[in-house]
Amino acid sequence: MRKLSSLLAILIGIAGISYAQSKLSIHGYLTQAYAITNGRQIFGITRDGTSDYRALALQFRYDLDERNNFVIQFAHERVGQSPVMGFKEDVELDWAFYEYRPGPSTSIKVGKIQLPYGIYNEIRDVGTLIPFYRLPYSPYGEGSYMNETVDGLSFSYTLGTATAWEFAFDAYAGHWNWREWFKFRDLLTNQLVIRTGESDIEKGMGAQVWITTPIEGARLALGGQIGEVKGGLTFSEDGLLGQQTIRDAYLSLDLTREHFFVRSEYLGLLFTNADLFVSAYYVHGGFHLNDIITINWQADFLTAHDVDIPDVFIPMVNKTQMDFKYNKDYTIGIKLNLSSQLAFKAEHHWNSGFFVEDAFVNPYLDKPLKSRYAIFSLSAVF
Amino acid sequence: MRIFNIFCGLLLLCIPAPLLAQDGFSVHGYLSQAFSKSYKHQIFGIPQEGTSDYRNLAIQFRYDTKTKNSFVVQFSHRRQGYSPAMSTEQDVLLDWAFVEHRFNNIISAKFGKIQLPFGIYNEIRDVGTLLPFYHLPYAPYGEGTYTSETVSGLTMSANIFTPGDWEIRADIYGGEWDWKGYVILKNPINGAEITITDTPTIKQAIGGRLMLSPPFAELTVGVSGYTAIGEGGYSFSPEFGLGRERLSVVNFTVDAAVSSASLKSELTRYYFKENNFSATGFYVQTGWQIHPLVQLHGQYTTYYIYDLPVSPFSLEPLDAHYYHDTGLSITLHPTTQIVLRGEFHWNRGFVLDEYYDDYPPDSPPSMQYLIISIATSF
Repeated sequence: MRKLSSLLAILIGIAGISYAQSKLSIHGYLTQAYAITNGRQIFGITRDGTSDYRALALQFRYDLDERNNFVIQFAHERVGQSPVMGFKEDVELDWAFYEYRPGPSTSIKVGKIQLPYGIYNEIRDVGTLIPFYRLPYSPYGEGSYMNETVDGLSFSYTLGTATAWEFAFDAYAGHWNWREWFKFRDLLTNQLVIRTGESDIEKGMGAQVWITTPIEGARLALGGQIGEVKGGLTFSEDGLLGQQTIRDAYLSLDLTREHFFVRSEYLGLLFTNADLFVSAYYVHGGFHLNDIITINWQADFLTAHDVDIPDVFIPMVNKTQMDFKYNKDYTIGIKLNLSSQLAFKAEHHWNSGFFVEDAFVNPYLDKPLKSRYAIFSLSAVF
Repeated sequence: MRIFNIFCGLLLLCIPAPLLAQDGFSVHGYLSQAFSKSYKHQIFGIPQEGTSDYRNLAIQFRYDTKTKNSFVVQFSHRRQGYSPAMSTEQDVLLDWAFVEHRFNNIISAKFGKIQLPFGIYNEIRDVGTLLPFYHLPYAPYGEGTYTSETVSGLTMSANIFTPGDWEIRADIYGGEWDWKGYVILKNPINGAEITITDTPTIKQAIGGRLMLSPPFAELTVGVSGYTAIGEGGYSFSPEFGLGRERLSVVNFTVDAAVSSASLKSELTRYYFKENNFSATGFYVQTGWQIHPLVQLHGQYTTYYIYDLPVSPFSLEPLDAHYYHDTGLSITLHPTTQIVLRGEFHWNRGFVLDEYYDDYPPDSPPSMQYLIISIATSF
């Protein structure tokens, strides 16, 4: 956090300088929510309800000239009683990068960069643009599977025009993290214990291409990543899987029209050393009743396929492999665009899976736990 | 990462002025830097050797749109010497982050992490140039406990001028916050002191404040209060503390000024329903402008607990005169943006940074402390 203090101190110094033509722009995004479940704690949401549920981002952008700009974004997030709060500092550096545009279609970024992935990864924080409080867990995760940023370098190039086929290509390389948590039953005290860890993805590389079609509002993306993941709880030397090489590929589909939108993304992730395949996909959509009201819906699935069952459990389940349906979430919600800068959302989720945070579940023996939760949120941008 | 951050800093410093951001945007900052020293016992992180690791900084970014909305973010940084709270406090914290919508000239609403409307000083805790002492009175403002600076939730406010020019300010709010404190225990095996961080959650809170100012005097009277559930941490844990509690607080304020003299006073009552005990906090603060640039202040603060059920080695609830503090300060205002302050306190109570079991509840330890500070704002 000393680095954050230094950056903030510098910003204090800038603040007193006299007025003139502005090259510095500042943008903010705030979403404040109240969330409640019908029983099991999930995603930090308790049966008592919580308003300790918030996402904030403050972005400083300085345009040196039309080719060079510098962007810093700070973030703050509260997720109720979620174990991920153990990772989070009150104020974190979200992005910090330098962008060079050698031409109107080309961009090079270096620093802590937004990871170019799919439809939403670069606008996660903009509550007024996304249909629900958070992005679909599959594949965007909560700091796992698809990180928001990469520490490294990216290259982007756009080919074509807006009225015909347009191709937007991104490639990137660097390092990112995954955050994870697991529940254990303490054998001596029988208490539920939660352990957290952070894995590193090194030698990470990825690429994607967005194809905008001549069909109104229709576009699709294809992309993939490779890297070496190690550390944390799962990928440390004595962890569940040990160090792994990861390869993933994904497909994003987006149809956005004046009165409705439908979007879907599929991520297939392979841990090559363990021969473990995970699929994460969602489909969601919305119908605009008018300029203010949109009804949104979503289905979100995360499954680990053909997981080897430990010998001790095989006699109990009579099989040697099984699929883990880690998360299945159905959502319906309403979004009110109160103004161009303010939105209200109300959403209800039916969830089945292993992400409950106040009960131990043996995924080899127990069925996924069911829960329902609701989130009411206000989002603002400037 | 350090090299990268130095690069970021140099790049920003090399940017030629002028470069302020878009219209409607403003930045404010508040800094207090102090040297402090205690006598007999360490209190509020102030050691007997003295320390200058004593600082309060806030920087606020505010954006006012043309459509009656304001977006406010304030970051803070605090150092409190050798206080056990410093072991878990991060270098930079989010103080507030909220959006305010003004429906008209009278009514407004805020959502986010909002200043909690309570008493006289809660919303200006960080503005050292406005405060008579470095710290706010312990009762009711605490140091991370009892009265939070913020609430995560929603507030509605009304500011009304009656036909007779009475000013009425009313606020209501709902949400939750955390207390941040610590408990110092003694290891029964080796006698070493153990500090346990105490972070209970105060949730399902509903509260409000009503302040009234007549036109005929520089006087404001008011009442604030809230009811909430306290849960978790050490204080409200079922194993070691009070367990889940229904907490109710009411506060009465008087803020008056006549000529070169001022008087502020707050009386606060706390009631803990499940364990059936209560507490009273009170302070009175007087000020005298002896010169256009010089003010003197005196302050007495006391906090008393009745029928406290949590007491080792005792089967009966007990009463405890938990804290009392007498302070004197002299403040110099060489400019409107800089304040120099010297203060001395005589303190008696259990709010010290050491384990105590040698003092009966009616005879707490005594100590003194000195704070010399500079405060500035822009």
